[in-house]
Amino acid sequence: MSDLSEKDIDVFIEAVGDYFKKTTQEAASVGVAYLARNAFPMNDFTGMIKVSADYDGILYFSAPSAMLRHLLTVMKETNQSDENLLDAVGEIANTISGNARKYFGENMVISIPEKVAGLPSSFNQQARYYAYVIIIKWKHYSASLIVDISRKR
Amino acid sequence: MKLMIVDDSNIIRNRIARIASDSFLNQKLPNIEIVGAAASGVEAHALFLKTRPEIVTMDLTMPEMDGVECTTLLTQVDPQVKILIISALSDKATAIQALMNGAEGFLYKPFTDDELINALLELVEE
Amino acid sequence: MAIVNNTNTFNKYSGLLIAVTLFLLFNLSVLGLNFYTSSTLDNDAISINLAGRQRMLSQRTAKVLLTIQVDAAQGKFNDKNTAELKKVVLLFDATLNAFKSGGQVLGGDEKAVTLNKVSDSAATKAVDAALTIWQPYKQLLTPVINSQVVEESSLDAATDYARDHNLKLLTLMNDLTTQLEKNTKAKAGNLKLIQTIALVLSLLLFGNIVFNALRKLRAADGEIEKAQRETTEILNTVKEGLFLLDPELLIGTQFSSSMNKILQHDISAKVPFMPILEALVSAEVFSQATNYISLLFGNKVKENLILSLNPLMQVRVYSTTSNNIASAPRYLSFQFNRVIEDKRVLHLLVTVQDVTEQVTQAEELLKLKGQSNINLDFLRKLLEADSFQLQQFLKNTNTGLSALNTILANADKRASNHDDLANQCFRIVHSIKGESAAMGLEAIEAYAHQFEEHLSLLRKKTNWDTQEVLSLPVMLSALFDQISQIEVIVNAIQLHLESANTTQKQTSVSSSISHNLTRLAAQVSQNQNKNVRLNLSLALLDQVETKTAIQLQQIGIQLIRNSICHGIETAAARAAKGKPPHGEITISTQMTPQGAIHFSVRDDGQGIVPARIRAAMVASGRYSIEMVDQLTDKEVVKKLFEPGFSTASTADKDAGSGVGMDLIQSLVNEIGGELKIDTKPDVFTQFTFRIAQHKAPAINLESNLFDSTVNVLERVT
Repeated sequence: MSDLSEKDIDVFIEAVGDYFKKTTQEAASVGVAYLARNAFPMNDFTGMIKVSADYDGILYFSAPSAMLRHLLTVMKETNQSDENLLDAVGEIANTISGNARKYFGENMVISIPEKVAGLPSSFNQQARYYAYVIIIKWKHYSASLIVDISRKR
Repeated sequence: MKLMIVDDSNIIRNRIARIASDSFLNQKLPNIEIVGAAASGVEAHALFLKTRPEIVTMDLTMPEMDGVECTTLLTQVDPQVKILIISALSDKATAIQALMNGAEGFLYKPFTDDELINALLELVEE
Repeated sequence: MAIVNNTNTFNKYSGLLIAVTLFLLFNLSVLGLNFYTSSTLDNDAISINLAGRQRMLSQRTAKVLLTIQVDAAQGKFNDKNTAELKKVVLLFDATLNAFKSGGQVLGGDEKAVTLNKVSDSAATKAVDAALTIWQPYKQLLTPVINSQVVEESSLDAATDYARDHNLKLLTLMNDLTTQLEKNTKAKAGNLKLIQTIALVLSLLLFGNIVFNALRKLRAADGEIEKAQRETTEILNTVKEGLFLLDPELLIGTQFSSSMNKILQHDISAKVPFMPILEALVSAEVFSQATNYISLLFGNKVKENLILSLNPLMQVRVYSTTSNNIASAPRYLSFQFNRVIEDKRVLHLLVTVQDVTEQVTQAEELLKLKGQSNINLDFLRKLLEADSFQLQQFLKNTNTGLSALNTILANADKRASNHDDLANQCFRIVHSIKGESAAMGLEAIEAYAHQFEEHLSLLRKKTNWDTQEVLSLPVMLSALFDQISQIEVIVNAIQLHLESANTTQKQTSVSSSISHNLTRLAAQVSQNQNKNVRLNLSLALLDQVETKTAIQLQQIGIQLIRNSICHGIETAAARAAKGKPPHGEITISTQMTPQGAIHFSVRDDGQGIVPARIRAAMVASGRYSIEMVDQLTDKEVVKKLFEPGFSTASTADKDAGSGVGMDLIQSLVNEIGGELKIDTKPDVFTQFTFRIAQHKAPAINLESNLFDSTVNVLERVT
């Protein structure tokens, strides 16, 4: 079995860091990384990308609304409706997984982002025995990047 | 220059529009008139026929019709249209396909303001 | 480019051009000189002719005069004669004067010619002397010429003069002629010389031009040849495949000789490239590459954008010689660069590299990392193991790993440093390692050991990068996976046993712990190449809580490791001290009259010697000699309980990681009680753990050790 390596997971983290750096001139950093089973640390808004083909599972990017509002402000987006906050979180998840394809190749097929306010309903089915939880810090906010992706054999 | 923005994200559409118009004010870009914004390939095709833009920024992953397909349609209508792909999809196959289908430039998401301005400049200057 | 070329050409050939120009100029001037000289020679010929005519005229004058005289003597008069005399005299006179001062005279063909006055002294002298004779002669002749009748007196005077002077005049005219001829001859000689010199010079110049031109040509040929040779040499020696691809997608005329090997295809000039590529790569990659190459030849897409899209950057290629399908995979890397002239893509420079080694190395590393350690031997061990102990082990391990995960999750909140974090993780992993070793689950033990090694690597770093932060959950996840796989297997075994209704005979906790500790001692002493006998009396363990019994087993595991690695000497060293060759470790449980349980581990090794610890502290580099000297023996012994401290110089699977004592301390804290150390150098070391019933946990170094004299402690409980 060839599981995801730290390098594989780092690809997602780099993508998040890059997103914030390019969009806001302020990079995001890694707080802590650990494993989670059934208890994912979800925030107000969550963007989800399903991966398929050679891979299986979901990538989550979940951020508190205050963080997303701050992000939109930096982007000079004045409309900070829930709809736009969802849009932002979906776009981040989409960008992360899109960027990751450069590394994983076109055999990682990614879906268009699914965006949820509150707790997503679909995460009770885990692709991994333990999913990777990476707490991402931007300014004084913390968001969760959850990599529940496994490589098919 | 007439510009149409195609992206399924509202905030990205707004950001591209804002950067394009700000850059004109800062004289970084020639006059770009935003003639429309579409959230899907289907919407973009209809809007294109109506407004006939000269340049288009095109997302790839979109519902209904994706950006590669839409690029093919638009260049069939107007072979002169200059299409800049703006996408997070960074794998080579997708980029090559989009370029083969008539796109002229490729900008990866995430992008900085300057990266977008430069990409648009390269497109306009030709 | 074109301009540069012109200047180059000019520089290269300037020497030659200058030489040719000089040559032409020189030849032209020689030609001019020739023209000039031959024209003066023409003039000279006239002069010579006329001088010769003067000779003839002087004779003629005399002859006609004598004829007239002879006629006159016979009383005859012929006017024809006087006319001829007149003509001759006039002609002679005019010519002589022209010799003197230049002028026009009638030439031989009755045409006027220009006569140059004579210039050299000999000729002038002759002319002057002739004139002196001629002037009176002419005057005497004039009446003869003019008379219509015979006039004897003047005729006689003239004739007399003629007789006297004619010869002289002839001689003078002869001299003149001779002199002029001599002059001309000299002139002609000079001309010949000049011509000869000019010829020689021009030949030299010509030779120089030819020589230089040839030399330059040869040098240029040599350079071209050298360049070609160098190109060929390069193409023959480079490991990479190198070739030019033209817009028709044909391979250019020059390509490196390694191409055949790299592409595993016989390459020749002007063969189409695409079929070769098609045979090498998958259909999908081939279609991408076809598109990509056509984009490269197009001008629409910018180079920097397109270079990043190369689908052949690293591509798996298939053997074209299909007789061996199972041959090892190969990977190639193609790089394309546009060769642009006049804004058109003329060629693509293609570089091909065999990157198989790099790729497979990375892949193998990845494979190795993800490999499951579960194999047949492992399954046998699982079947043999006591099922209760196994369940306990799995439960403990899961609990430990979860605790480790919690540590990771909370690392940020507690703002602890990385060193601290690594130490906490280390304790957990170390205990899993010990337990799995005791259970004989070597696969888990090996994995835990790998985890430990990684942790000690991280412990040395003050700043962890993202990948290092990530490495902990990744390793944890792998360990979790292994444990969960074992759980699946163990549950299956359990189910099978239950359905077969052959429930394993229930072994007591104490006997299974004894079994484990014996196995561990045998394994570690074999690893350390030491002779050890283990005495166990652990019956009391059946009376404590199973959890506590397992924790005590853990303490036993760590202390057995310590004893064998640090305490028991080698057989040779023991013989030297007069000890029996085999070391002895005794682990026992006793109950005090008050009902407290003592758990003790004793070995007959070298004892704990503060001096040795001091030396190890200095050797570790973490303490200076001064610092170590300032510590009391008690403080020095306390160091044994610090995480990361070890007296072993190198860490191996059994000891030296510096975690064992730290783990013991945390277990003692968990269970609650008092740990006492007694030791005597070269005699024994004994750890006694008095399990408290309701007491605060503590390690009692104060009361039992080193309170009076150092090193001499014989009080044994």
